[in-house]
Amino acid sequence: MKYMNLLILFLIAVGGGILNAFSWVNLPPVGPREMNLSLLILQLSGNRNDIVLLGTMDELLNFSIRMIPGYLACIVIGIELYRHFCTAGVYVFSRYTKRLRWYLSELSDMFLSSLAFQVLTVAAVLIVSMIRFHVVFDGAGCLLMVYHILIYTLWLYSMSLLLSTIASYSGSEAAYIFIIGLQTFMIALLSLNNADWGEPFLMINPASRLVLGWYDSTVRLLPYQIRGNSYQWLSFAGSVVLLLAGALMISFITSYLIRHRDILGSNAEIGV
Amino acid sequence: MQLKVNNISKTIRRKKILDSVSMDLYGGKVYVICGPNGCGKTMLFRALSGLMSLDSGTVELDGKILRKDFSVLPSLGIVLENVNLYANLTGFQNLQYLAELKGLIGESEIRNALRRVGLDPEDRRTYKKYSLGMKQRLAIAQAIMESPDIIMLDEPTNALDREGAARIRELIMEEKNRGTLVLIATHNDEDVRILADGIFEMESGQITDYKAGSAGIAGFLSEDRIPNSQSLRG
Repeated sequence: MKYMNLLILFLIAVGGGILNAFSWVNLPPVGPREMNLSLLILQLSGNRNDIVLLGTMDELLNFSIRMIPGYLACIVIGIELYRHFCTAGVYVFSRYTKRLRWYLSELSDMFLSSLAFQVLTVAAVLIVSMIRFHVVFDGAGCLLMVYHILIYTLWLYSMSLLLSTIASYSGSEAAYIFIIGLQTFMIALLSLNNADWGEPFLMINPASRLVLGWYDSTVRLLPYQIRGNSYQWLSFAGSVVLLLAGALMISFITSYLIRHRDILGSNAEIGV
Repeated sequence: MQLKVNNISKTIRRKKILDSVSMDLYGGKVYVICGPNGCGKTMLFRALSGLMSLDSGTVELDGKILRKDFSVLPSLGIVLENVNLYANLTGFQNLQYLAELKGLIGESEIRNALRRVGLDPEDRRTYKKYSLGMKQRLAIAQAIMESPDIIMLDEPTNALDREGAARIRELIMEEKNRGTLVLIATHNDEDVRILADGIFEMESGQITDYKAGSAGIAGFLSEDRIPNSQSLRG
């Protein structure tokens, strides 16, 4: 079953990457048929060519659509852990003498799956783009690609872990609705980019970290100009540290919960 | 091997489902727990296995404390009522998946376990197409396949025909003779008569009585652990 889930994850990554490459990675309307890797990566995280995410409803909807493969991956990765609590939970957990050790190995699998998913997605986008036009591998692009993969991996890992934990307590449907609702809500709040008073709210919204075009570090890194807001408080290292701290905190809390979880229900879905 | 249960209690949603239960259980014996539906038999199995936390009391296996020294009993085979296996896998695939978690046994042991309960290892039908009796046999096969030191079976002969029930009883006796501690919850008088070395009566989360079974004289009943103190030792 694990291999089946890995295959599904692979298909979502490649399929989602191809779809995103055709839908959101676009050459400028005029000029040569080539694109810097840096601009390609920025388009994956909300840019419309050289214009960074403005935060209009139309743009946020497009941004959410870009995230759909990630939502699906979140469900597949989250299920991998959660399903142990369902159907045969009693028979599974009666075989794990050290539940915490099992959980930590599941967490490392979950992180690796999240990382592999993001690497595959970006690779698929890159390959399709290279077929469509000439991609110029600039230094800034390589660095942006690494940060994109890291930031989106930590995001996917945290969301998958939250999903599996909520699902093991409240059933999968409630967990899907909560996690997808939470992400949609946070993305909708990115519209505060347009409000004069919105910056403090963007600072506390983790989804702001997903928009690489908003990073002051990006603006300083690029050899050309992009248009739109940028924020000094957004730095690559800062975001990685912050998202890593969030992921560790979620891991720590869920480890405690799972360790003390009673395997009472024979089926968490129906609560028997 | 000794499994020592010391005054364990558990309350769920304000209802006391286990109330100061104490027992001494030994390897090579079959203990039967009898009692009306909802008296706490299944919850007792969950508590003894480590799958459920306790409000008070301890469960000790040869001096090591459950949920402190290990999360679940280290060598346990368990069957609980209403717990399903994976619907889209065959019986063999189900056991193969569970066996891989511990990595103790290979395909030959899995096939052997299936044959012992009267199932065909080559049967290509998926679990969802199994009859109730076949599901019961498969659950028992997963409990015995790794030759555990402790086996807990909730209503093992339920849903089985006479031939099936006889086969499972024979299997339980084989496991007992191997030195396994077998704990059974049952309503079936024949199970009690044929299998029990010791019989615990349970009611409203309490052990109310203990008596030696006809299969052998088991354990002891000490004066300080009489039914009034809700603690009996077998």
